[in-house]
Amino acid sequence: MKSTVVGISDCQTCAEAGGELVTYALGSCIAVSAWDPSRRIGGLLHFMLPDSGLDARRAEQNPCMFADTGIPRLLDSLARQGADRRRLIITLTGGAQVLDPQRVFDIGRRNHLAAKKTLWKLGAMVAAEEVGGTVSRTVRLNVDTGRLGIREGGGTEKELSPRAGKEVANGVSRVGR
Amino acid sequence: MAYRVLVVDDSPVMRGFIRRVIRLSGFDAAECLEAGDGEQALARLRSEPVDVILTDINMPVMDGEELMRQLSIDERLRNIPTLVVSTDATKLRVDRMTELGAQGYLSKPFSPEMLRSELERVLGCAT
Amino acid sequence: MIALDRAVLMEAVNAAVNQAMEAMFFDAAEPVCDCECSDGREMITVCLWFHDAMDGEFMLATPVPTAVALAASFMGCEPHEVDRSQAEQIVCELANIICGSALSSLEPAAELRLSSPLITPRACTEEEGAIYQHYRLLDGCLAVSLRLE
Repeated sequence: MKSTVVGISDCQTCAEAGGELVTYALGSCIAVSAWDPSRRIGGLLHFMLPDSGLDARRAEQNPCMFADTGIPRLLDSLARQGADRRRLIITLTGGAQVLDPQRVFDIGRRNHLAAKKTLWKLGAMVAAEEVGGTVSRTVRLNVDTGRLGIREGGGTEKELSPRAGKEVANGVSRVGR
Repeated sequence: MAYRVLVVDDSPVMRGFIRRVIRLSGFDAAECLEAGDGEQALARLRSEPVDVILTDINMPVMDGEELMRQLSIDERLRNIPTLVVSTDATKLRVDRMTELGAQGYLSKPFSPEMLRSELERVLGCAT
Repeated sequence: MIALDRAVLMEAVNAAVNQAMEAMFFDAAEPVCDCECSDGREMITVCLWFHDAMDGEFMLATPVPTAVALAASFMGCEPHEVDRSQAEQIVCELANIICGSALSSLEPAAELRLSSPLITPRACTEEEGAIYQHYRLLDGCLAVSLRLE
């Protein structure tokens, strides 16, 4: 299996048979995965901050740093490779609470809200999510099967998908919030 | 299957929100009809085929509970699956609407995903 | 008339505001004591009445730019695509949702009847006997008051 690592403030897509996208150290950051089951094309975005208006210059240099610029970039990138937005299965992972002495709003929660707002504006809905809590996560997307594996801290990997595991059927799912 | 969905709510922006969820949820070629109160809803139901009804409760002219009552006594309309979408989450109301035939009850506020999930359940299918 | 502790009322309203903002507006609401919501700006203020298990009045007010931003989030569009009528409808619906949700949680076994929310020229201010709270949002602010009769 060919594994592509997605760094912080980074976005990668994959259309290769046997391909996998993986991102590490999701604290307050959010990983957005999008997978087209018909074309077997997948993408993974790891963004840090909710709103590019906070730093327009940095957003121009690296749109993947922010929810509102990174998510459109992810979806556009997949569309250019032939993915159909209407078919995309989209998940959100991360948004853990990171202690900050001057915390006003929990940045993890803000990132989560920004991701949902951006997706809603772009005309996409979330199929499944695992957000909140206080531990860092690793996410792995198998591009052949669409399977999304999540590992919390040093624990064992579990699957998150719309047809198994946790669904967004009862609103926002929060772990330990 | 292309569903015909009737959205009954006196708030145009709420009808728009629900319509958007239905469209984005991928229900095949769903056609959304709208009504601003129970009386308008009945008029549409008596003149056009509808596969599922989503209705608010607190509306002027005819509220959602009276609409359900009218549907329950009309043998042509009583079997249309109905999902109640309302700010009223009191037990008395939920019980009454269920007794009148509502297959689902979603209290406001709800996320787009919650509405999609409840609609899938009422329609008895998955997208 | 059911007597309710002021703190219990406040908690129910806070929870309802938070749930509404998060689920349908993708926003966070933080109760604050030290901000002036209007600050001289034009406000959209909505009033509705409730009766049966509890009788009273609920008001919600927000500056026009906040109402526009909320409408854009709710509708999934850009702020410049929101007209005044839609901004007002959003504030009405938000008042309906918060009031209904709060009262349903306070008296889940009772009857609840809400009037239709109406735009009002009255100001939403702190009055004796009413609970009153400002909230800071990610994109603005709003104020609510709830008075039981």
